[in-house]
Amino acid sequence: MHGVIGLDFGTTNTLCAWMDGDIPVIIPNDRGERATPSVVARADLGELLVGSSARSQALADPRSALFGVKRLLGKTRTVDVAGSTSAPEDMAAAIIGKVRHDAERYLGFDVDRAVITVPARYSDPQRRAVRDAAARAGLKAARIMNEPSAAALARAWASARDEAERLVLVYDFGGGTFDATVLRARGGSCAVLASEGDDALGGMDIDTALYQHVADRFGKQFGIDPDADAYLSRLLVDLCEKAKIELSTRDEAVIAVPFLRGAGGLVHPSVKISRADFERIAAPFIDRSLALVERVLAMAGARSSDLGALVLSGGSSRIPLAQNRLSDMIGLKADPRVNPEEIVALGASVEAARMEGRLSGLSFTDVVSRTFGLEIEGGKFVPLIRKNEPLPSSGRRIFTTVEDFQRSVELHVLQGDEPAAKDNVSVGRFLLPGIRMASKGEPRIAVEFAIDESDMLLVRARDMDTGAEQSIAVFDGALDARSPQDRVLALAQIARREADGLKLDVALSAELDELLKAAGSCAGDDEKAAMTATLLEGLLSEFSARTTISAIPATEAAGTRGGAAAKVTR
Amino acid sequence: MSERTMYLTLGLEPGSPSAEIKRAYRNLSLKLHPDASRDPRTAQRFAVVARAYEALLIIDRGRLPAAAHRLLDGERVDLFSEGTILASNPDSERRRAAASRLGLSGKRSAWVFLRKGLYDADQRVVEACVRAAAVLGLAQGAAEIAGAYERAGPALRDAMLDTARATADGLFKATLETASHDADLRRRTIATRLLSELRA
Repeated sequence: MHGVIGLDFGTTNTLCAWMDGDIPVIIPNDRGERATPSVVARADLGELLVGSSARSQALADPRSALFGVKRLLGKTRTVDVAGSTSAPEDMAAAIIGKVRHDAERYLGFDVDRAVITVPARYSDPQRRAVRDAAARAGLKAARIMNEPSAAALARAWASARDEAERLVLVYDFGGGTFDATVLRARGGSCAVLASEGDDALGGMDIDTALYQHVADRFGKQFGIDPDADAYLSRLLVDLCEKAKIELSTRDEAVIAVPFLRGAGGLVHPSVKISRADFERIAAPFIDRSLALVERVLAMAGARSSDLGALVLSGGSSRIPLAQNRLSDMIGLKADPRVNPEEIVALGASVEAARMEGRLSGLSFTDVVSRTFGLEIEGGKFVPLIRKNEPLPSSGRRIFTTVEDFQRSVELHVLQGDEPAAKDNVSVGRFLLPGIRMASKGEPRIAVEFAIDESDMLLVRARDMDTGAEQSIAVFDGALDARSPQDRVLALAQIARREADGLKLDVALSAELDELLKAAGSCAGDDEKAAMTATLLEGLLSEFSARTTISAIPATEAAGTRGGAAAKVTR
Repeated sequence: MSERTMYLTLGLEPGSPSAEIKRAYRNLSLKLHPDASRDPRTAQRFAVVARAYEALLIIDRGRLPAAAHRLLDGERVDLFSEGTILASNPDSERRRAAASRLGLSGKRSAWVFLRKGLYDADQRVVEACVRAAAVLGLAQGAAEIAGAYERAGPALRDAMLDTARATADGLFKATLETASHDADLRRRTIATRLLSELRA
């Protein structure tokens, strides 16, 4: 038997859930913990420790451990752990691999696929890195899902009998990232309206700020500088995190490290943190999160009084100050039965069961979480698909050349919200050759972006004057990074959809059928999958030439003509 | 219709063996025959193809059998091995043969290989790729073929215009537009005339 699990790979903790019948349950790890710390450490003998063992090891030897690898994924190529360099993907794979192994032991069957959640703000290279890390752990990412969407799906599943239509706010304040999402929900169906976030705002930042405060007092009161001692600072960060959690339920917490060598002999430093102290330290972070809530409400075109339900997700959302300020702002309290630390993993398991076809009566519409566009003359960025449009989504625009007799146009596809292309993330480039000989500004090049639920971006470009001009490029975060198996299935799905509504002659439909059949029988044969995928790309390109992009309104074409020009290549 | 034009109409190199003539005819029928095509405009082109095919079979009967067979009737073309030959074989004759076999495969996904062949250093390979695109009845690739025309020398330009005339396929519209600005008056005239026929 095989199963699909839901995996919440977090900055501080990784959780795994499975749909047992129709109840999503958290799968405990081999220590019986419901969350495995996202920590990796290398022991003296070179053994790689993961989870709580790694956390303990970190206290014995701080330099041997790696915390918060999720924040490094897709951003750095190497990371130094215990003096040896590794790829962040390998470190993440160690964590995912352990969780997978524990899940298999608990469930008693093989687990080779998972729905993996990521922050909504995650960029394409970051998503690719997560997919890659999972693959290295022998786990196929059946779907990469946005964390707030998973939280919303868990709520939808739990409250499928709630027939009233409500606007739901998901306040997802995790260890490393913050996301605010507004959804429209009714019964088992929900649709994301807008999502906003900050992938450098999380509980870890509050820990660091609290540590600064405590370290300061250690210095002033006891003459000890924890920053100078890696062991002590690691221990203090750990104690600060515990104190933070403690302060969610108590009014006071003590951070004490006895038997330290101070200026005049042994000291036993002990620092009392009141809830008021803590709230003063945490307030700037909570303010930032609330500003994002305001922004997401504005983007969804809703006022705080329109909201009908609040879903809290992520450990930091337990902070009383955050809950109180949020309640003051929107006048709602969260359902106390929901465990914010677990809701994302539970939602991922609901999606996993849905993909397995085990659930019915649940519908879920997500939105595009990133803005995609092209680089134009002068390094400017023109968006074609904007964030928060419902999936599947598409965008078209007309471009032109910037030089006389320009023969080809290079299309540079980017993702991001910045007006300058260089500030955004590059997704891919492709060349459109064979532009009609003409003066600059004359050729009309239609570019169409389309993105589907499987997060695959399709880019097409065509010289409208030569009529038959077209070209096609397929990216998902990079299609190349996907396994050939995934790629061929995704392409087959697109081909099927594209063929719909096209007049195909007998030969062409026979060829399509043949390739679709081949695509369906590639399991376990990567070479065949890769070949079939290449041929499907060729066929898609043919389909693309047979559809007309004439759907672009003439006024729009006139408006952008000359103004927007694709980057030159000669 | 000259014998040469008949071959070109079928997307073949003049003098191709009968197995290839049959093969090309069958592939084209699947796209152009009124029973197979859902586009009424192809009927007229099909009539031309059928006439060329019948004439060529008669001519072919009187000829000696080709020394080396190049494509057996009913033999499947392995797109990938032909594509690899076209992309990387050092022998230009083999690259050229691979391009025509890709055309005869009847598979329009073969374009992923043929488009690369348009950049081949040997003009005869490029010519074979253009012909293959025509016999495949591709809708895609029009602009890239026009680009190949711009890069081409006089002999290849003439050959491409020949193919465009014989197949009268919309695929060549962009090429003819480019050719109607050709520095050479003769080619300019031919292109302009073909273009107006194509539009009519």
